[in-house]
Amino acid sequence: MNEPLVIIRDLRLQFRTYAGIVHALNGIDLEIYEQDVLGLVGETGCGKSMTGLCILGLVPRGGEIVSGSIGFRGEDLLTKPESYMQQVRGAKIAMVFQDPSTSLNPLFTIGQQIETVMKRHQQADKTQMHERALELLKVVELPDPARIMDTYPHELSGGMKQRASIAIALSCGADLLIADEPTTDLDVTVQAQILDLLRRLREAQGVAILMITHDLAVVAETCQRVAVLYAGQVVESGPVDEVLYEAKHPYTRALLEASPKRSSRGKTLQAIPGTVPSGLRPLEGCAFSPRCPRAMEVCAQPPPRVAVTPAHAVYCYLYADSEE
Amino acid sequence: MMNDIGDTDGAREAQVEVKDLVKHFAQRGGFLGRNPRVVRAVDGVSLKIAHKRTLGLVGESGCGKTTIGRCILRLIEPTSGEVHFEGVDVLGLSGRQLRRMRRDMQMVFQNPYSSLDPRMSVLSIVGEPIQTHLSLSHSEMRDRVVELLEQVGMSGDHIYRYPHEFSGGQLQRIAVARALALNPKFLVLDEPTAALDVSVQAQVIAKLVELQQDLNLTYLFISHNLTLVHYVSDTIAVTYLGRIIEHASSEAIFDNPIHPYTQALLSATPSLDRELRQQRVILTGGVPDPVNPPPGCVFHPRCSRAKDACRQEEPRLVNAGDGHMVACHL
Ligand SMILES: Nc1ncnc2c1ncn2[C@@H]1O[C@H](COP(=O)(O)OP(=O)(O)OP(=O)(O)O)[C@@H](O)[C@H]1O
Ligand SMILES: [Mg+2]
Repeated sequence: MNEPLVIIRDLRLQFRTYAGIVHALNGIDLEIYEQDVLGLVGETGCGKSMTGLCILGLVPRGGEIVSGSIGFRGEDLLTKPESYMQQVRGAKIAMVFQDPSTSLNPLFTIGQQIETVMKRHQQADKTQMHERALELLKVVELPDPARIMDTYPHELSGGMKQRASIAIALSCGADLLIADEPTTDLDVTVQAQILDLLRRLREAQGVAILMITHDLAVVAETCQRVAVLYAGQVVESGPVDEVLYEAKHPYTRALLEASPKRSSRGKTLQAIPGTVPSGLRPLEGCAFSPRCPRAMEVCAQPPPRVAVTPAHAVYCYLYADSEE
Repeated sequence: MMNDIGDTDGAREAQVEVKDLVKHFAQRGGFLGRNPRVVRAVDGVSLKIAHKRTLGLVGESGCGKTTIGRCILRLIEPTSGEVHFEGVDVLGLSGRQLRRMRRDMQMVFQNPYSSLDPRMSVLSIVGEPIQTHLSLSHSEMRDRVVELLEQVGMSGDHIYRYPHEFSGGQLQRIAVARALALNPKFLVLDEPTAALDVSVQAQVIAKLVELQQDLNLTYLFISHNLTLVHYVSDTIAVTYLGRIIEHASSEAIFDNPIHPYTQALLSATPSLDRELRQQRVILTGGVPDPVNPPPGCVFHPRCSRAKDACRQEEPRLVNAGDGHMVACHL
């Protein structure tokens, strides 16, 4: 594969809170390739959304990136001023959220909202913008685009709103779309429509997608590559077929065993004993080791990155020997 | 016909039986509320659950699943229909008789963060139903709460702690402990794991299955997740727009779904199984507004195989063989 579009190295994010410092991201390493769909998966609080927000330069208040780099087309975004990031957002990197209402303004029609975003980043006259907006609504397969242009968000169903917010996100030809749980609030049959749309947009528009989800089945169906997060660290990453069907890390395996599958009906779901660390203490060794059935003494040290295959990496001492 | 509904055990007596249940909500709408709208949340639902069995009630949002559960327990009054629990006509019970009956039937809600009062200690949360229904001394009640917590796999030491000190999975177990306080026979579990991570969901599901066996419980398990429902259910009823469109054993629903909606739902459900990752049937549109259900079969506007009869006449739920009930003209 070619040079990655995004290269994240050792990204660390902390929050100052009353309870103390929360270690939200503890050295994330990721690559997103052009026109690729990378799934970012893990349980609540593991840092999926924060990773997405860091790429966009939208770290919430109280949060501070304490180390790392986010390379986008060779430029480190973490060294750029806010004015530069404003240009990047929308024009190069766009985001859609779990609740499409957060990215739609209730006071303006869908058409007005698309045109507002276009005006910010492009020079075009009114009719050109109108044509392009109509075209986008067609691309996201909204029925009767001319009518949708003049409707307000509250007149649309959940699935239609999510389509409209995808249209707005794509309106300036972004190269990367960050989709944070884009279908979690939708019905199953509507989720299937939106996932199908995202898959086809990747092909037709050539956009890379960072698909943030807690659902391994969604990853299996929509992504080419996946990174599994635990306590603000990547524990395993690589092609979906290798990570999900030849999982190496004990946490990836445990997560798979806990997920309902059709083929294992009648069997029981395996719970993962223990709980996720609170983030209030800095991580020393492997964050999963206190819950890991195969933990060893050495796991109190930071885990090594082991290349299972050239594209498949696992951060775990269990595989450290096979390297040499 | 009624005797056959989802009844794969043949002669097994139904413990819970619902017939032609209807619940319409009046909703104010239009200028100054001049156009009251009627939301037909539940529109003629019949189902049966055998003793110690689990019926999984699945469907998309707004299809009336929670309303069905609430009507069975009479947490809300149905518009019409019948509900029988162990042969007793639940809708005919007066206040006091209903209070007595409520001990046998309890509900666990979807979101433990909002269903438990944050100002109450675990002791008061779990002990409240005991206090209202039984005359136990304080120490007897405390012992019972400790016993209940241990039953759901939590330490009795937790009784003086408050909801914010617990994780979602622990809170949901506390909610289950509360529901078990009066030794119920029947539990309505409304999306009990929807707010939880998969690893915690697995814990809660395992606990529910174990409790069912130990305490001889009957469950109505409400969920939008077909794959999950299969882990707990003996029979499955698929709802669509306030109706049950298919009702059969879990195996039959997965291996031989008959209704085009059930087939589409199975196909749309993302799956980790490699073999199932190929062709999808993708439905267009969403579930229609229950204020204006389509004429004929309510699914026909989204059904690729709809014919004339489907547009005109609503199909009845009939036995397609072996108690596999389906409402479809095809
Ligand atoms: N404003 C904040 N103050 C303190 N800690 C925060 C703040 N926002 C996020 N965090 C912490 O950052 C960590 C990562 O959060 P993040 O929202 O990225 O998780 P997530 O993986 O997206 O979870 P979910 O699946 O619930 O969306 C968590 O430990 C969270 O508690
Ligand atoms: Mg998130």
